[in-house]
Amino acid sequence: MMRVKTDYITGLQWVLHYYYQGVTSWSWFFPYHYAPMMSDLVDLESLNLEYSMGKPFRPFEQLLAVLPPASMKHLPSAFHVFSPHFLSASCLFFFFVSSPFFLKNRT
Amino acid sequence: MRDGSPVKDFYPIDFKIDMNGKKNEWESVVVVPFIDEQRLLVAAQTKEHLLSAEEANRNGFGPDIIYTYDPKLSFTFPSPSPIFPEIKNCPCRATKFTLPPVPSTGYCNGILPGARLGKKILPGFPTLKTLTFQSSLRVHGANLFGHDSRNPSIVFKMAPNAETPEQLARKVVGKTCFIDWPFLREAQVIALTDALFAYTLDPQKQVISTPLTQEQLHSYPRIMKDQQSSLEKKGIFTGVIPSILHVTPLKGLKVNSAGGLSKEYSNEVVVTIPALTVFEVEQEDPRFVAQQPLSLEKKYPVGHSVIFLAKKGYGSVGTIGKHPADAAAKKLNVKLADYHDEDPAFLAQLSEREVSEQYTAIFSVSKNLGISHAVLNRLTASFYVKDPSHERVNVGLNFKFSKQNQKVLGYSRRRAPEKEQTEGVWELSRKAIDLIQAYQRAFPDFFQALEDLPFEEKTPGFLEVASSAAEFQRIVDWRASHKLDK
Repeated sequence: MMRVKTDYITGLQWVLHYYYQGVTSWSWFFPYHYAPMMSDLVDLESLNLEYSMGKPFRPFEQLLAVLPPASMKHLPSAFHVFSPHFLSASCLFFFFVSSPFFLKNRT
Repeated sequence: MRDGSPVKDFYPIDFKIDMNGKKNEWESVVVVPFIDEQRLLVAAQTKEHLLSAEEANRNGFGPDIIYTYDPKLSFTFPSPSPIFPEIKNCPCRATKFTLPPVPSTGYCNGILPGARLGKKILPGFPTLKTLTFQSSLRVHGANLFGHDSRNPSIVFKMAPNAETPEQLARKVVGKTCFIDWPFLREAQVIALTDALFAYTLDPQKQVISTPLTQEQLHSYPRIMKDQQSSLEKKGIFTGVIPSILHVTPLKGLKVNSAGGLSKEYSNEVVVTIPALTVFEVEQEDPRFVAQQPLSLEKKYPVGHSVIFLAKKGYGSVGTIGKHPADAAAKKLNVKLADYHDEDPAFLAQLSEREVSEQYTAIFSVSKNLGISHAVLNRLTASFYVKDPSHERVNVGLNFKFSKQNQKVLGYSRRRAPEKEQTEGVWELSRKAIDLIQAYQRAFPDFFQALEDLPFEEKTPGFLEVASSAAEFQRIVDWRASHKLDK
């Protein structure tokens, strides 16, 4: 629970920092499918929020990370081999840094 | 080969969709695996050598490009995809855009030095600093939204005025002041009254005092008391109010008979008190500064083309000739190309009307009539639509000719460009506005269709602006009946 809480607040802080100052980490993501309950967000002053800057994906790497197999046709053919079921199913992969908050519920 | 994908677990076809108590599928939690950045990068790297040169080039970070309109350019831009047609006669110039470097001092977080604050704030913005007061926090029962507040409020104690009512009157009566503090609205002081005298201007602009009438003696002390107590309800303490001001607020600027701009004050007298009135500001509001009339030479440069709209010589094209020596006569010499009349008397009459008539800037007209600026700009110029036989038909009102910089006397004019403007603002007369309104009332659907028209579409087909050929013909006929072509 402590980890979910820390990661969630780290995410909120990431967003605030992003809008007011700029990207604080390219590699950060929220590593859970579910958010903590509001009532879990207590004792926040003790949290230690850390970021490592990392590096942004290049365009095709970014697309490999976020596109579902059904959209692989938008990538150069060299990358099609990565998706064994290319053109079969439709689902979303979320890796993009802010996606846990904004994209996770899209099908 | 495909089953050998090192990252195939990133792309499952079966995964859980957890409705998580939600009604719609798009609100659900899609339980797909998280992607391991390192593994993805390594996998991508193994295939990178298979990318074409063009693809490899795209797979990186490039500079920002700024696209600008260049009338000198005209080339065919090839289509990148079968979905889109190629772009013919493309006048677009692409230039690399580099963000200006951050100054060595870095970004300033907060107010920059030299920012205009307090008394020096730009006119039109409110500030409390234009008057002197002391503030404190206390339980006062200040009236908030009709109820007395139970919590402490900030209350103001205004600095008392050291001058006697008479001294103040000699200074301010007949002058401008600013009421509605802290928003500051300009007004003219008509009179100041204390408990015994009224101070007004005599015809020689001298401040004179006259004893109050019986009725005034009775009512003015009550006005003062009422003002004091209503201000106290709002948490503003003025102390005993020794005098009141009678002012007329500024309504705006008006074109005067000489063609200049002068201040127009309301006829309605507003009562206010000196303690809440500002008599001097750091900077006059540039939106309300009176202006001298433009000289005929500036307004009608010699050689300028004009079109006549007076009865005699209606629609004739003319050129402004040498200005008469007697500028006060407000007459113009105009050479007419296709009209011959011995009697030039109507010319003088025409110029008189031109200078005295009131014009409205085109963007205000657009706001008042609820027509977008883009549409109004097109309609007041020439605006061509392809008719059923593919002929170009003008359905515009021909008030202005921006390229030729021509105006239509009595309907439109162009203000001289101000600082930092390359072009002057077009203005329309009442007559022009009435005509636009009549046009709009006659063909509301046409006006709506124009709003929906893509801006870049230069000559739309008639079906894009009218429901049928017959309807389009009605528009053309209406326009023809108003004799808008020269």
